[in-house]
Amino acid sequence: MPEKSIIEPILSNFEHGQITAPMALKKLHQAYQKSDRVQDHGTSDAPCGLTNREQVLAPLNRLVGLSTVKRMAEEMYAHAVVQRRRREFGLQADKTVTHMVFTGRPGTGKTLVARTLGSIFAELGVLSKGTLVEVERADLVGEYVGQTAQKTKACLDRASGGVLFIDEAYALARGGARDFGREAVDTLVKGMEDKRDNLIVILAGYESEMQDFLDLNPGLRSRFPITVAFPDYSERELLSIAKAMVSERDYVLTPKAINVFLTILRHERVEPSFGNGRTVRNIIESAIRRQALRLSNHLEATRNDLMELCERDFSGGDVHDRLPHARPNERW
Amino acid sequence: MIDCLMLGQTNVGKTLLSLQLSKHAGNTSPFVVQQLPTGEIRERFFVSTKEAIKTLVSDRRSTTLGLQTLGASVGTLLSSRLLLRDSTGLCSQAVEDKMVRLGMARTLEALVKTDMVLLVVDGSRIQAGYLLDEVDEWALRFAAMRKIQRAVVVNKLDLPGVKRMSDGLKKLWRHEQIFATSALHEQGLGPVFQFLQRKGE
Repeated sequence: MPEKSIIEPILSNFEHGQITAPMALKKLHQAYQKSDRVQDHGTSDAPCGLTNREQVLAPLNRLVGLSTVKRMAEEMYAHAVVQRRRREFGLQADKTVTHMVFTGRPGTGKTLVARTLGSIFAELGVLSKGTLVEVERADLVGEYVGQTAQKTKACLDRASGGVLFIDEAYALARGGARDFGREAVDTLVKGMEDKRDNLIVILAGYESEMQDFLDLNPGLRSRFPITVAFPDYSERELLSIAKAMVSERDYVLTPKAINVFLTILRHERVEPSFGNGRTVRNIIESAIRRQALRLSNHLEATRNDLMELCERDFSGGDVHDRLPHARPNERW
Repeated sequence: MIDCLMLGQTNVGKTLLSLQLSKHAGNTSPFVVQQLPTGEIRERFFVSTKEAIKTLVSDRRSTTLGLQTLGASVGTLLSSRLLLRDSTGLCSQAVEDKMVRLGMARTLEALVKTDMVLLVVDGSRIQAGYLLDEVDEWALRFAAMRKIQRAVVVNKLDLPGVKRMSDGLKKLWRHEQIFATSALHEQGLGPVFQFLQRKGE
């Protein structure tokens, strides 16, 4: 039990509106933790109400959809925990290869998941840093003989302790027999084996092209044991992504705006250039811009007005660019 | 005498739940002591629970200001009594109204002293991935840190989807006591009452 003199300032701070309720509780929590430590001479770490698993996986579970990825992360979490426990009993703890292939269309969350997985693995102790290094063909492949290996090695060194994310990896094998892309792949495979304990390589790209790429080099497929397919989001998932995006930026969608948003989405979904989450972000961002335009000469806007995105923000203004039925030449 | 604090966000049904629990304990004419945030103490006597619900419960947020103490005798002996202490709802955001803020400060103060916590959660507001709101999570952690008796009550069971959510929560947190109730329809109060009875003796 800490002294009254510690608790009272926190409460009075809260009364004066300087801190919010969760912050006050956090501070009280810390005050108790400190006083407990003093009493126990720093031996015990007080038990937490919530298990660790939810906390570690929370950044991933917050994402919409992606159930296969979540299941895989759960498996890996269990594996890491069990290995740690085995080590405590003096049993052999093996390190499995965790290099992965992500396949899916653009905007399905591959980069986002790679970044989240990096920090989760760092927390689990599988990786030392958990940073994400994102590279593409141009970063790995050089112009002259001998340059490719050096460049690739530099990338591997930079990513060591974290995740090396190679976007559109099939481009490495595109150039034909005399291309340096092959050299990059060979160096990569060698580096992956050497740094197996502290590096995760993730290859990302379209489904069919990735399959062709993996078939090209026979050793490649077995070195990436985990393949995760990122399916296109369903309409409902796209809507909840939009809602999350909007509330993250302190906006709200009116019910009518949701209807208009869904109409736009249905038209966009059939286009070949549909970019799932990225398209949703673009729609939301343009709505935010148009809401700003609507309110810019509206001086007595209230807090609610400033938060609301209404249907006019989605369909108004340059409606002719938005809705495909207004551009017949392009579609038919 | 044991203090049991009803804690939770605004508009989750703390007052209604505490009135129904006290009714479940056989206390049909509730006697309520209100400690207003200004420091004033008011005693109110109601003829029936129905009348109390009519005056004390509403759809607006922060109807309850300050602490409301209800006596509910649980256990076999009269001497083992339990005070249900209803509190102002907390919220994660900053609050503009000064009275509400003062009421919330009283809630926090009570949380520091109380012997037992019932954390009331609105089942329809639990997000995907079974994440509790920040304020609920920290309250639960704080209770765990103080090593006092605690239970989570998922209220509003009558709303769609809440049953599934509470079942999921129960599976996820085996080490926490979790009850699902509907204070409006007096469902699921039995297990909560038994929990209070067990700990109150």
